Amino acid sequence: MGHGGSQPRLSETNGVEVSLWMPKPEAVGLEGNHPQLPRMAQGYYQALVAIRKYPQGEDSAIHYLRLRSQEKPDLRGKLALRDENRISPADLTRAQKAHLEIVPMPLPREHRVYHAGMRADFEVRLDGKPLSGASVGLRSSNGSILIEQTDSRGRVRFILPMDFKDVMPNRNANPPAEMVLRTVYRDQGARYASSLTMPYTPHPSNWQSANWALGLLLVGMVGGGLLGRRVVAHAAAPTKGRKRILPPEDKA
Amino acid sequence: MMFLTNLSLIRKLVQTAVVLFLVFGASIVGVYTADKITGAFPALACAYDSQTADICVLLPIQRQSGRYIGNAILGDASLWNGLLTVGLTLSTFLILFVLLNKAFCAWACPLGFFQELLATLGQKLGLRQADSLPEKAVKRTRPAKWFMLAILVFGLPIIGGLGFSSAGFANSATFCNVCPSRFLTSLATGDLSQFYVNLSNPGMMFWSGLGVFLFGLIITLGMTMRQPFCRICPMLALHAAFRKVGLVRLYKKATPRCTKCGLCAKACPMDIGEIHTEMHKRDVTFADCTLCGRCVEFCPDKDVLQIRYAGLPVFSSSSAYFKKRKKAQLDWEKIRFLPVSGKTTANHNAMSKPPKNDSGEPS
Repeated sequence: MGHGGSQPRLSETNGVEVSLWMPKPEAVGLEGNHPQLPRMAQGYYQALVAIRKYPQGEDSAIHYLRLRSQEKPDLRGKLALRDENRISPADLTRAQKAHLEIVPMPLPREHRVYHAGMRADFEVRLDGKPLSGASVGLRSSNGSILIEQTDSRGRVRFILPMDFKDVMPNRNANPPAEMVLRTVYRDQGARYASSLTMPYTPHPSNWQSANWALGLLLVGMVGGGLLGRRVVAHAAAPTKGRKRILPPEDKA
Repeated sequence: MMFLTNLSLIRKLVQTAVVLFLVFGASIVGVYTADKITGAFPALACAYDSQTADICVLLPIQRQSGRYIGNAILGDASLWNGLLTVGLTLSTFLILFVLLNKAFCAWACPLGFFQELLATLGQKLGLRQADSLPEKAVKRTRPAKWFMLAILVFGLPIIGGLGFSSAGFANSATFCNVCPSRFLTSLATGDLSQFYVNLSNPGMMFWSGLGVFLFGLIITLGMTMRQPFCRICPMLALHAAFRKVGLVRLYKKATPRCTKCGLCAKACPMDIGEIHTEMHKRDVTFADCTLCGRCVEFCPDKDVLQIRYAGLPVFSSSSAYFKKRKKAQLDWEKIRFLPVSGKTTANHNAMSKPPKNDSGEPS
């Protein structure tokens, strides 16, 4: 499954069933290679899942996305009155969407996106249980290829490749690249393959400066020290014991 | 003094537990936004902290002001829908706020906790600290929190929502760009991703640079002056606007027992002088009050100051408590990391001995 700009796209559609999980699955039709996504969906995150079943296995492709939710004013967080506003992305990642799947751990939440140079953890699950020793490959649309193996907890970690060229100094000015993680499991003639497709952006150091921040922090600390000295010099003299302090009207 | 009867100690223990939960609690309540307890917490629990257990109310207010009210003014959305959305976020905030009122500041705010730690560090290092600020300076500073709330939390996000966001000066989280809690809580979890100056455009560069500068300023200023950021915090202003609906209040019985000694005002970390001059109002939960309870602790006159919950006294001033508290405070202040020189002093409590001048006389 590919991102293909703003609309997800399937590389193959023959015998594929597509569903949108939010967190319960709903069937999605296809127009050519493009899934017909609704304009709005429940929850803040959804998973688009494409599955092709064989007699001896299954291919699955999963892509997490954020469709706009319906604007229904509500209380916030756990206090929300509407059930759909209490949907957690954890409900989505926890749900078993395919026999074999690669799950982001965690799915980057609000204020966070996958970016180049980031340490990103994933879990490979077979029938909902962590799968250790599985080989996971990461291929980016910028041409990078990485391969890692899951540990005893079924976890795998990638340092996302720093493979953007000609980066503009603004996150919004750079279209995200696409990474596809893929793993295959074979057992007694059965074959399960799964991929996870997610976008990632250039490293924020292209438009953010920690050196500037450090410099300004030090300037602020010096300023605070000087201001503190001034404040102490002008502060009211301390009183001893129960010295009577009269209000203005009493002084008059 | 008995360990469990020292209100300040109890407050600090509660504050530490709440702050640890807020800053690192995602492992308990889950890492995703929808898992957060309220999403509109009445203290600076930062959404940019990846481990946070809840989210400060100021973030959704800014986002919704820009997205819904700004768009509604343009005619792209229903104004009623926008006001209802912001109103419901404020309602979530109020559900909690009614229970504890402004006590969220002194008992639950990570940034307030950090500033108290800085003040303690300054005292233990033997730095000379301001006893209380001059009345003029306090009065001049007070309107700043209302400007922060009106301009950074509501004004600029709405202007950004109207489309006047050129150069990034008006954006959907203007206050978050300068809020020291963003740096504090993310750095506390070992996350350096929020410590930056954004060079994308002049506006983001200005706000993010100002934020880092302000954080640095607070680190050193907080060691010589009590609660420097709290005095200009828009959350304090938001609390002040709704303080009449809170169940926790500070009451004063201005009986002849009150000798207007001024110890309550000196004990106040926010320098609210009106606590000791006010002789008519019974409810003295002033706009700057954080309900820390220090004024009640350091009032030597029986029942003159009280913290009440739903009208019922839960903690009252008394001569016996005052004597024990004074001794405990003096004992605590004797503990220093560095030897005390003649010029250094710490006066963070109402009962400290006055500093001596160069000739050795009390100043």
